Amino acid sequence: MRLKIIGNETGARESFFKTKEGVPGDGVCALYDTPDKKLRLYCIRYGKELIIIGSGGQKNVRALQGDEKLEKENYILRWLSAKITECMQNGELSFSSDYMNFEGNLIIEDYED
Amino acid sequence: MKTKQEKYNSSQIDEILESISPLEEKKLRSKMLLAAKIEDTMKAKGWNQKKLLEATGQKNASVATKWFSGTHNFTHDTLFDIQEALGIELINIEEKEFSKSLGAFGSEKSAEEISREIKKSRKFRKKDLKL
Repeated sequence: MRLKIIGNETGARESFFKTKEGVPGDGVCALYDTPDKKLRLYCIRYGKELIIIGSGGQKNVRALQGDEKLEKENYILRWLSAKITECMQNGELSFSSDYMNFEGNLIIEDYED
Repeated sequence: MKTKQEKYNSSQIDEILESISPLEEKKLRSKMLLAAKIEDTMKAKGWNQKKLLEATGQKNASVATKWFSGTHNFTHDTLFDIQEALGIELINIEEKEFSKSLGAFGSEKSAEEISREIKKSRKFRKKDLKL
């Protein structure tokens, strides 16, 4: 439901997300239900207009690396973010003029755990 | 080769959305818009979080993160402090708006104005009272 309101009304405001959940500058962040609860949905945030939603789960460990599923979901997005950055640098992918979408090619077929 | 973009619809997401009551959705929406209003006003005033916390008498620096998260359940006193510090309306208890929210008055006129008009309409001139 939060995603619906983000998509229709507020946009992906940085303050709605827990930022810096990936490596510096990769935009990987987490959307949580309430700050004192444990649910984390990992996303890649490209400003208020565009987010890529991944997966997540309950975070009952201090560092996400302590939970196999969370680590996997988080690392998929880290990998995807790096892939997108690479494709953008190569000119294969770019933002649409309103920054609400990507344009170009992004073929995902070589992800390995 | 450029591949065509496809829209993806998930029945699972539809099911989740349908499981949330309209009241719950309204409550969540209100929380998120309230957070956005406070943050936007703070930025429009050229304030940072530190300044807002000072102006509202808060000592815990992490509280602003909660306020802006769109999930925080504000108390009346916190909302009151924020509205006074920022000079915006967050708690609406004006009689006109309050009465309208109860469905008592459908028009834009205030309760006093409507009352005055009713009294005026009940005043009769002698010629109106010919029996």
